[in-house]
Amino acid sequence: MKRIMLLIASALLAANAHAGIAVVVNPAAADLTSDQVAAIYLGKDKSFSPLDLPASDAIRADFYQKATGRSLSQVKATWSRLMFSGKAQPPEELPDAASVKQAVAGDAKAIGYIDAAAVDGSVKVVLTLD
Amino acid sequence: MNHCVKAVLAASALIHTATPAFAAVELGEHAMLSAFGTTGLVVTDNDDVEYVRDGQPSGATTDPEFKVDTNLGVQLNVNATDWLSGTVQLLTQQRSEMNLDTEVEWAFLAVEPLDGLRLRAGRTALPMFMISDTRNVGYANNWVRPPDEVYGMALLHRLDGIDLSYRWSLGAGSLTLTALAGESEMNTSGIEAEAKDVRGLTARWEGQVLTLRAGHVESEVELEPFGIPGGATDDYSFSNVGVIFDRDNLVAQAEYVQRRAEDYGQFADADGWYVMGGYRIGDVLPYAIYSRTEPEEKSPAGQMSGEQSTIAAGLRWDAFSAVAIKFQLDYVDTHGTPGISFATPPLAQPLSVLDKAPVLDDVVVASVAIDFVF
Repeated sequence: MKRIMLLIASALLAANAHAGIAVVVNPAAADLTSDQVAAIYLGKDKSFSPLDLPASDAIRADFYQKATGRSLSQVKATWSRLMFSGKAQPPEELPDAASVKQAVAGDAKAIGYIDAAAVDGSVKVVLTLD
Repeated sequence: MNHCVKAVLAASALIHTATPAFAAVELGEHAMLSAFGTTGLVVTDNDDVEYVRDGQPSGATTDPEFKVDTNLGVQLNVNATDWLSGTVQLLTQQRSEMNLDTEVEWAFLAVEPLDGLRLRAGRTALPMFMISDTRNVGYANNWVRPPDEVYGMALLHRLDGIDLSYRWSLGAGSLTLTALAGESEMNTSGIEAEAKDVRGLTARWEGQVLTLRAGHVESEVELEPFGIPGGATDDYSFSNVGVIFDRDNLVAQAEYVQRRAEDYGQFADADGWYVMGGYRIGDVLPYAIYSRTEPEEKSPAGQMSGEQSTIAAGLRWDAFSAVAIKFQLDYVDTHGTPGISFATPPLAQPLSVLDKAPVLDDVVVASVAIDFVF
């Protein structure tokens, strides 16, 4: 029982290890609402090109849960519907926050999510998820 | 064992070792190769009739059968520019032939000259239903297979032609209108007939939790292969409305379809519908489906499909990243007709090649499927 409590506690700590998730776009891009961010990451709004962090990064599951209310497997099923009907390609996966910032800084249509602590002047925050 | 089956089995074994996100293979900067597949096993409690989907010629009895649901799709996407792309999808599954067979399911060029406007030319899925374009992608759906009482009613599946879509924001979602034109092929009970002058309109509104859909497709089907000489055609139409609800842990989906023929309605006219509901508990989604199809006229000879209803209960388990394992039990009642999901021997003195023997008992069907995408 004690071990289980410890496991739960450490899982909770791991989930809260980051300060918050910042959804970032190019400084030249327009502001977005949380509904728009959800629509972009579920392939319903094609006005932006979404970027993903690796599935191994805990931020990814946390981001989708908070931004879209869906688990990673639900999101994957959603994108497989779009992909295999030739309607859209899933978000491009980049290795880390630094490469997301670089891609967003260089593309007015790119959108990404990173640990809020990693935000700098090269990108604009449109939404913060705690 | 057929080599295609081996490929499917090998592919499904492969995904257990490789589990990154969408492990689609990028080929250079502009091309991407991806795949989906299902390895499924079906068994019933009845040796007199074979349980099939989509009018397959042979299926499951008390001997477990994997050809009913097993398939493998490979798709290549090429994005030449922001506004021009190409898609080719090969799909291996049991069709009208007795063995697994690979065909080009999709092959189209898409042009998007303006945001929201898209023109496609080539081969696409004919949008008879709400999920026509992903009906074969097990992973994209919660059930093991689409209810045959509805999805088995379409005798046309593919469009060789063009479609034009326009999508814009409406309310808290987006509305897509699509117009299509081209030709197709009808394939039923071993009869192949050309379907000319296929035209259709569909409307789809997608919000955060709700998707609404309506569609109508018409075509001129040649009648010679059905034993009516003289180059006559009949106007065959298909109308559909559907709704998907997905909020938090609750999912629900329903569709209603009408199949009509102008001159030979007594053989073709039928309605079908289903309701499906499920509740997500973590990675597990238990669900139930009730589906039913009824011909407009009770039991004239030579009907394309009989009466049938199915109560199904199942479970989708997202066991690994990009892998779902599903179990489903179906209780199928054909109300004394040949039904729609059974390959039965033709009657001894058939009035028409479509005259099938009735299914005499209710049939219990058990299925297990492993779906994957990569």
